[in-house]
Amino acid sequence: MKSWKMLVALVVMLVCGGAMAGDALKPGYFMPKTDVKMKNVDGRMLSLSEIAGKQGTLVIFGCHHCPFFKAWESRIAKIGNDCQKQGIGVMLINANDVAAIPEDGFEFMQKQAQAGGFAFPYVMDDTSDIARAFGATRTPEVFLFDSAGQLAYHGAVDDNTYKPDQVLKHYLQNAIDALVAGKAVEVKETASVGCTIKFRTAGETVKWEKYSSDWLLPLVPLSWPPG
Amino acid sequence: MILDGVGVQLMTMKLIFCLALLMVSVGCGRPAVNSQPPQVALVSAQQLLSLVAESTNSVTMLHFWATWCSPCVEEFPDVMTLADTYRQRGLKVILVSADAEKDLDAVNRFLSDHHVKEKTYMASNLNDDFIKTISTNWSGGIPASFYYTHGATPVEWHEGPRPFATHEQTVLKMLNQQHNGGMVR
Repeated sequence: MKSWKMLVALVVMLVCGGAMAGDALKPGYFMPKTDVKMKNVDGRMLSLSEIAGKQGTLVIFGCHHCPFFKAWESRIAKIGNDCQKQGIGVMLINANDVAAIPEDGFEFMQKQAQAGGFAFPYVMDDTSDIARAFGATRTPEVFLFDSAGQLAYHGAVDDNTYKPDQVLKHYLQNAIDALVAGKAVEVKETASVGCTIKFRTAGETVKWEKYSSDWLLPLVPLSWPPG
Repeated sequence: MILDGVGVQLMTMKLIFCLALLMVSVGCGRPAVNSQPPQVALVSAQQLLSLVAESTNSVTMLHFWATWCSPCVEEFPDVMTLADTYRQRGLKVILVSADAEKDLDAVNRFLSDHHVKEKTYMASNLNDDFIKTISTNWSGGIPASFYYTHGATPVEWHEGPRPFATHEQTVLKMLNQQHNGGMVR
């Protein structure tokens, strides 16, 4: 009887896991997987609960190779560094499968963090399970949580990938400002424009996910720079 | 066969069409000495929807792709075959590149390599507004295809690559519906 129940639970978990894989956290949802330790570029093992700030927490999915991330990197570095001064904890997470994209390996992350002047942790999600739990699919993709650990904003950094001087809507900065001022965040969700996260096939992974990650979303460059 | 006014007009139109076709095919027969890549125009989502709404074709398909997107590149020849096969039956395919403006040369090279002769487009700023203007259901992932008959609301759309047969099925279904509905243009 017990084993039968477990089997049902397992099936439910598998089915739901599959269905939920494409769905990101919604506004108000709590931060998942807060106790999982991930390796930071400085060698320390850090979890989200350890870096969470009093005012809130900013979780950014990023990587080294992606041209979209590169286009946004200096803006992300500035916002991340500023956040920490305002009591918002920051963590940049690389969830890409290094076997698929060697340029997203740990050494590349270390160089990137140093060159980019990241004053916040940059960790490797070496199972891709953190990204999976968040429902993150792109790099860059940001999740801003309030002081209670509930999602306040999810999506893109701003509305212009390649022309920082022509940004009209500073989605993330506006959400941070609202959070710090104790006001309601106006725009809570936007579409993230970026490369697909290349998920590892492991643990919670279901087979279709590997397939879908190959095409579903703006995709990892064939060769970059082109030509 | 009864030749009323409309019939005669149709016959005349068909003749003109055949002549035009002949002229075009003669033109194509000559080897292109200096084949310039087609012009790529930067567009906003609103401009694209206007293009779609103003299209006089039975079926208009918006197709988003990029040179750096491997599934897009794999699917591209099928999309071109689709456009070529059904152009005369009223299909217009509008290609929209999601590449960055700075990679215009790569886009032109790619289009030239794939013998694209029609005017194509590039998203001026692919962001949340752009994506939601095209469709609130679209995540912005590419490749993506949107199929329209009248107006700027897609009859069908798909995110991710499709086999040629699936594209064809959609287009044929829409073309047939148009013609059965007396909407022959």
